[in-house]
Amino acid sequence: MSWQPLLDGLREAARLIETGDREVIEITIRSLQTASLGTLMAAIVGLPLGVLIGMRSFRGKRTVKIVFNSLVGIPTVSLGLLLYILLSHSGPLGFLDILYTVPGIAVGEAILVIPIIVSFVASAIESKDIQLRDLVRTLGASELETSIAILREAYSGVSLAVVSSFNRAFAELGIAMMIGANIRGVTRVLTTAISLQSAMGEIGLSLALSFILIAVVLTLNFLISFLQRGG
Amino acid sequence: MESVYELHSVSKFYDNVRALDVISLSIGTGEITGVIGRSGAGKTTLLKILAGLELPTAGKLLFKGDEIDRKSVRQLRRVATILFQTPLFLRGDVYTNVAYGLRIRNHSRESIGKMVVEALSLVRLDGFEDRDARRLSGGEQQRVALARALVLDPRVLLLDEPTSNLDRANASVMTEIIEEEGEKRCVVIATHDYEQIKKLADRTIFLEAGRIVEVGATDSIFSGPLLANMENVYTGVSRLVDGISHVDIGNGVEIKAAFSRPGRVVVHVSPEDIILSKGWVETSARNEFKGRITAVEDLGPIARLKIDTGKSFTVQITKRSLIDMGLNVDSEVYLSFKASSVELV
Repeated sequence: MSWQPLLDGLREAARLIETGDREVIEITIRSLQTASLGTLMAAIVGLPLGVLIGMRSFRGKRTVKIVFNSLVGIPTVSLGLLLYILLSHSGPLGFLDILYTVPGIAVGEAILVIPIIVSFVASAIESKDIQLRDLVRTLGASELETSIAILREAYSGVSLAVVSSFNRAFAELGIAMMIGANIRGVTRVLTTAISLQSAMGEIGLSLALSFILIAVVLTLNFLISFLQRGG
Repeated sequence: MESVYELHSVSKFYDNVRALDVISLSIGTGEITGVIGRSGAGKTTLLKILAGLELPTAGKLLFKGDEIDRKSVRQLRRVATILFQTPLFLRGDVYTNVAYGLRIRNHSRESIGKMVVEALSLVRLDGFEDRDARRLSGGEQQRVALARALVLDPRVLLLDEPTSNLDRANASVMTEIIEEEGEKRCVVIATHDYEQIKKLADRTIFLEAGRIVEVGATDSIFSGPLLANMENVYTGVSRLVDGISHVDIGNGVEIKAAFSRPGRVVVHVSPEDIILSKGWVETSARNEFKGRITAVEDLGPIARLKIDTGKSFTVQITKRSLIDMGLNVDSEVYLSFKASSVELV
């Protein structure tokens, strides 16, 4: 048993960061781009949906929630495959022409994390007292103002939803691989690069990229937590 | 007198439970209307309908002559504000909370600042702007909630048990403010505090099981129908022992009450406030009597028992307790209640 590969990987990661390796910087930025864009799109769709499910009572609400909760754990590679078939040139959504592009990966990641946002936001809102809703209404709030006030009260749950979504989008491989196809300089992101390098036996480099990925996630999360405490 | 509200045969169901049953009444401006009745009588439901937070399942609600429906209910909410029994707060300080209603009404920052200061002063909480609303004492919280409502200068102020969780000092401050406000707007106050109703309300609505038993001038309600309908009302002579009243209600039964008024008094104990046990239990309750069940009335999830202790007491417990304790007519039981559960009528 040897620790050598791990140590080599760490050393290689440090070197890549220190020398500012251009390709590493480029794929890290691309990973950030796809994950941010994906999370943004997911938030635009998922936040109102989560609020609606959390605030309204309707028939089949339990079923809807169970479906979204289950989709939180969907395997990325299966979703990626499904989207690949839909988006490929002969597929039903082929006309969108986003296969093998950064926006394509972002759309896939958005679909992946929408259930996270919907589930987390709906639960966060449900955890707020129904009386709180009556309170803002009796102070004169419209339906929209009521939703905004409740979202603000459910703030910690909502920010957890967004941060978790970003983390999952940033660290997923299946969709980036299936939709992006790991094209160097075009769609290669951190996870697809790691996968490729390990397949090629470049354990040092793929470990280095893994450490960079973890470092980026940690830094971002600390930053967000720090900003939240300040705000 | 100009009427603010008119209710025509208003009923309200929650699922299949009837909370209000064909209520018709009108409520005028510039007066304080009291709503009394035991818990579950429909007081809160009535207030929520008046506040526009619930719509009647059947019947008509008119506000200033206009019928309130799904569309116009927001207009009603803008001018009628309810104060809940347990005050709730939005995240943030007192200022944020009191300012909320003004902000959504698009007042300018300066005028909001001025109005919040005035409202806090009105409830005797000058300088509380920066305090965390959720960390205030119960009395302070209820007063901040009142300031948050009053700052909007509502035409209608609805109060749901505004002082039931407060100590005497805070309760009397609240009562004082409510009395002042009653002259400027329509105030409806639901409570089981009869003294407060007698002091504040010009008119009183007496609810029982979702129906109006009686409505009229407060004095006439208290002299007649209320007492006749109320359970556990006893007349007796009170003597002061260590500052609390011991009321001899006859047949050797003496009730200890947490007020100090000597002489002839009328007292009331809510059937929900009485605890039953099968043996002597040592508790902090100052009143404990041994008796025998003379009647059991089945009211669905709850049961009402008549217990003869020399004087008859009505006690309300859940059906579950009745079954678990194996109680029935003729069972021997002990009943106890706190001296502070005894109200002066």
